[in-house]
Amino acid sequence: MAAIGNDVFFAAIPELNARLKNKEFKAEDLARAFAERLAQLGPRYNALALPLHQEAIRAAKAVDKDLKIERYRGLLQGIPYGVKDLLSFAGQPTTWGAKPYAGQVFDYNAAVIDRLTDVGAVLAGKLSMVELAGGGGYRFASASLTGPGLNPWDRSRWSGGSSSGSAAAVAAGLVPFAIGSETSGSIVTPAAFCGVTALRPTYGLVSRYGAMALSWTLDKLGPFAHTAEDCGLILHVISGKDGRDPGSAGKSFYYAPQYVRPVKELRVGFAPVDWAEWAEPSARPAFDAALEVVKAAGVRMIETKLPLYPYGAALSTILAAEQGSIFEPLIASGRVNELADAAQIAGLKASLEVAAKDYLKAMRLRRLMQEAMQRLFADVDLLVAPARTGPASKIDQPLDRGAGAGGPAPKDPGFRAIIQAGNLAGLPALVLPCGFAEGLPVALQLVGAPWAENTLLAVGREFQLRTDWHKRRPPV
Amino acid sequence: MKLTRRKLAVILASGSALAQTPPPTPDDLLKTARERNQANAAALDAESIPMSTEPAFQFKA
Repeated sequence: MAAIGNDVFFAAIPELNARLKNKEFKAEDLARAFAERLAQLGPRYNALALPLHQEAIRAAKAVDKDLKIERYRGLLQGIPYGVKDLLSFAGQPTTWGAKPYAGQVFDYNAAVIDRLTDVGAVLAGKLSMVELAGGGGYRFASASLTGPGLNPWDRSRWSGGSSSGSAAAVAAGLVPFAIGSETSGSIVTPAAFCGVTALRPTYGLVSRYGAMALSWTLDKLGPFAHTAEDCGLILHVISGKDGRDPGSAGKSFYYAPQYVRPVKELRVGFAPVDWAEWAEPSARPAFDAALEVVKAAGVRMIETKLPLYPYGAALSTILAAEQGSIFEPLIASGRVNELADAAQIAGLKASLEVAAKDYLKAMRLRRLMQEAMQRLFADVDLLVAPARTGPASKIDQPLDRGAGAGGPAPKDPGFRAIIQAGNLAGLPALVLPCGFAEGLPVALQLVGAPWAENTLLAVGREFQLRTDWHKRRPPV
Repeated sequence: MKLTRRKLAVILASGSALAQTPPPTPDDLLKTARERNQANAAALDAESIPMSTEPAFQFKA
């Protein structure tokens, strides 16, 4: 077996693929090294749900046969990866991070796994998650079958949720990339807390066939990786029409940031209050410096604000109604009481009581919100805001307490509700590590109009050419 | 020591004060969840929506 150096564990996808093609190591060597590292270090962060060592070696050997005859399938060929344990992988447990489903096995693969398999990517393991992707609303980081997600930068801090293992595994160099999901913040938050790059695609761009449903109208799948370019390469593969997903938009994504308008011509909306007041004091220097980098790229900065709507109330109502219907059998059976988080159990039970009129009102308001966001994107090409206002919270801190500075909340909401607004409108978002606060990563989010992924990725690539935050490694 | 509201808030938010607070019972949590749903519904009710606005989903025949 060829020696796999530590640099390999944090290398971007094009570099790994080039080294495979140059025969510096075989796909089998790479799969073995990552699978062993994932098995060894994954539990350290409660990031590993299921090792797939033998399956990975078998898949990697097939890749080596292809490479030997120069049968190339793209840049993801031979690259190991992990998936959040809400994606089914035939014949293996898919727990959804929750005790009532610990023994659940499907006989088919999630669409994203099949798409990645088709291009020769190698599934190395399934990654931990908050139980039921947080459905019902959890109060503690411990709301998971695998225990609280521990942050690779500081294990006394949370890795974020609900795609906890996906973010932690990439941050710690346990897999080169991972797939996670977002209903409202489950990609953005763990990526920001763990200091990795991640992309929440436009609603409907990536098939959710074979993924646990939490909310039919909000769920999305997306990549965690080391760079914006990696995210683009992964999205290129996993996007596309799928008749098995009723939410599929029937669109594909071709990673081609070179064909978007020059970065210097882009208009970037921001709200000064996000940076000066909403951001936690410890994180403001990092956020301010990052905003200067965005400005230095030559974009035109435009002060703007989120249209005023009750985004949180609408999202919570829609999510409650849909998750209540989806998990009604679990709630009715009483097995909901086996979940780890008492607040989540109560939230799921209460979700059965959401009135149809409230759900429909939220969905009608959502239409107005969507139209308001379309008008906003007539004036700007993308928005920039802190991904989260500060670094990861302490592992035992109740999540409903918030980690804010403790003073009165600013009167101007700025883009405080951009995660809820972005998810309600189905907008894509790119998370970019942008510095440190209290020794922990903090990140920006770029949010675009529907199908503007290439624009986000072009700006993200430019940002990462000018900074090295995405190259920092935790003390693994 | 004069106890201002700000100081009281700091004390109440401290770990020692929290440690003395009994954990909420399942009934407490269910009540809280229901109240949250009601508060969300009230926030939605405060918004006026044109009658012609259809919900943000499409039925496909």
